[in-house]
Amino acid sequence: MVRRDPPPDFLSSGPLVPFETDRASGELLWVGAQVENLLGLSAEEVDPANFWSTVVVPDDARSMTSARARAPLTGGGYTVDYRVERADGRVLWVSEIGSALENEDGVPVVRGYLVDVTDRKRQEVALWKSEERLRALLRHAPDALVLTDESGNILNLNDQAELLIGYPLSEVAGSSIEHIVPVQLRARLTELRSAFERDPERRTLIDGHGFAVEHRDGSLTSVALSMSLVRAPHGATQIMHSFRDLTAQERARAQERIRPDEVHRVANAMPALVSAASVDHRYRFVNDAYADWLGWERRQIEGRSMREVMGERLFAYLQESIEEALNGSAAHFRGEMFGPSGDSFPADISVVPQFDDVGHVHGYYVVIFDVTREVQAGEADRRQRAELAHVGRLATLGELAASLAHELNQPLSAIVSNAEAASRFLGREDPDVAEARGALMDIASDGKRAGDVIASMRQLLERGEARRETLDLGAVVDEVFALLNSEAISRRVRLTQGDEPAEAPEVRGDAIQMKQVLLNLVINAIEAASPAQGPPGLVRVETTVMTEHVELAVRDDGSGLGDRDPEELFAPFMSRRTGGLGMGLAISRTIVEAHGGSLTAANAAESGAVFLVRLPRGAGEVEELAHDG
Amino acid sequence: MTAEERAAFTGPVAVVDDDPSVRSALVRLLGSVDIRCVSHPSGSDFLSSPDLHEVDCLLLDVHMPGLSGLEVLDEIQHAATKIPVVLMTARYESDFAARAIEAGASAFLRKPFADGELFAAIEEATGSAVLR
Repeated sequence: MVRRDPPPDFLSSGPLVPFETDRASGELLWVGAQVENLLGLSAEEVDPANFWSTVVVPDDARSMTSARARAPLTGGGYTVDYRVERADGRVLWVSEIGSALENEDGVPVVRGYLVDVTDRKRQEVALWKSEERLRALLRHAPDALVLTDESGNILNLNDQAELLIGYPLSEVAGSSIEHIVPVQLRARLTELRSAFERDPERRTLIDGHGFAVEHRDGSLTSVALSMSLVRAPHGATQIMHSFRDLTAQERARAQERIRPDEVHRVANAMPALVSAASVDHRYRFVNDAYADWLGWERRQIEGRSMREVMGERLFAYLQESIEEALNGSAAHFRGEMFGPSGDSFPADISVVPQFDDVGHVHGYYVVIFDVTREVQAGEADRRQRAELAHVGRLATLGELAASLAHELNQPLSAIVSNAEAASRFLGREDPDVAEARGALMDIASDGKRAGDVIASMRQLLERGEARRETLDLGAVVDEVFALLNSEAISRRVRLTQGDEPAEAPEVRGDAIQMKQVLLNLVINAIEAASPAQGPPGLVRVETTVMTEHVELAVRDDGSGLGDRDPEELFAPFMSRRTGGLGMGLAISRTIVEAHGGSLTAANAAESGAVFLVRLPRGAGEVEELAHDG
Repeated sequence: MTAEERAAFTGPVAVVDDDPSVRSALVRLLGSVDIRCVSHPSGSDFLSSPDLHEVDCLLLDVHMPGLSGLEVLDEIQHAATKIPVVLMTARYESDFAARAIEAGASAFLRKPFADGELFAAIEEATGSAVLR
């Protein structure tokens, strides 16, 4: 017999919290002392009027109230889950099991229990999440997945499966999976499934050719098939069929693999001489260009010794690089290549090790690029620059014609006068030999002086190979001043030099081109400094030797560059001068830069402009800048 | 009247040129026909020397540092005693002759010149014969 009265402390202890609340106002009418365990606040601390609104999480309050409100309509009993917040801030899930009734005072109330279901809820959420994840995994799996029951009736498909067969789940659910394979393979599929059910450990059933899935449009897709058992709820067994599309895989594999004949085609298409050799220097492969170069047939070359085919001389030329490659590192260099007929060409040569699967060198490639055209282009470029420099010098000399004539006419004038004087002294009845000799001595020295002027001019007119010599900039300044002396005089400008530097201002380069640069800068300075009237203008050239550079400053006391960007001056056809072509500064900068230096312009601190040439000191390498080929 | 019969010109002539070769050659050439010479390396040197008042002719180069030949000529034009001046240039200047005459030169010479040209210029400037 069941005992009908509860044990005396049943209602006041244990995990259940009994309560009664007014259904209309929601006021808490009473609550068990266990509320302290559940919510962390004693029955005395509870504010009856606001109890529910205080403890129930606001988001969940609605489901609680509506469950209570609906209870009378559904026979009185109800269960509702919601979250409550404890006094310590912790949130719990509780389940409220209650019924709607009228209490002893005839007030409509809800009477029930609250029970902590937090643990259960947490598990539910975790489970839901893992199911969700599983569903997502299946859905996005790269393989087509078809879930069937034990007899092969379709229960579910993922996206890939829908793509593979061309039907949505709604059209195939419940039908037999055999329908998705071509007729001739259906019996085989049934067989495979029975075999799988007998031995579920053997999961991969078909891996290779010969099995296919039929698309709605009749096309077949070659697939691999594997199955796995799925234990469904209620003890039912389901089977997951996984189809992997082999055509896509095969296509990808075919694309990855490069066939040997393709390698040969690529090598033949290359504008280079390509060969592969074994460690004992036998040709394993050569491209057509390579065979042509040596004047052999490709088939004749392959398998033969490199020494024999290319000759001892060529082999010796490559030997050092080949050894480097055999030691595992590639060698690249530019050199001269020559064929058996003796014709030679400039070439970029690479000798590259060839590794086997385990990383051992088991041969090497020799790749030879003919760079004749590149070299020719470089030479043409240099020739063009040199030609430009030459034209620039001609223009400069043209501008200086009047002054240079003066430089020549002065000694010529002295020579003529001395010659006539000598002739007279000797023609006297009593010849004055001493005076005549003096005149002749002077003629000799003036003749030499005129010769120097001519030489200096001829040098500037000259075309020839650029020289790379160590040159003293101080001497260059002296020569330029000598050439420009009369130009300066006629423009009423005084040319001065700064103090001689302690060390010789030596740079490496081409003396003629350096002279051209300085000539240009000083002519410009003379023009800028030349006064319309009043005291003469001033041009000063200062040479400073620094740690790594020699700096040459050409200053004038003219009106300066104003606000304009000094860089504009170096653009072609920009001239500060009236007579100039406007190429002088552009050419000068090209020359200085080819010498590894820089040429800049600025306003001087006091007045006028200053042009600054910086050149690397001493034995710097100079880019080849031929005057002409 | 022959050259010997005329009063032969004997100077003195001042040679002003910044080029020492030209100076000494001209002095030597004039010396060879017995014309006395003084020489100065610049215009200012000549203008500040007593020679300014003593010479009968001036051979003056145009292109010199400091005072140019034309500036010297201008000074001389404003001086009390007017010396006849022969201007010389070593530059190619198309308008040289016109500028020389306009500036008041009596004659002009383009370098290099033959002795005959020089003597003719001096004769034209001084009005006296040079004994050749």
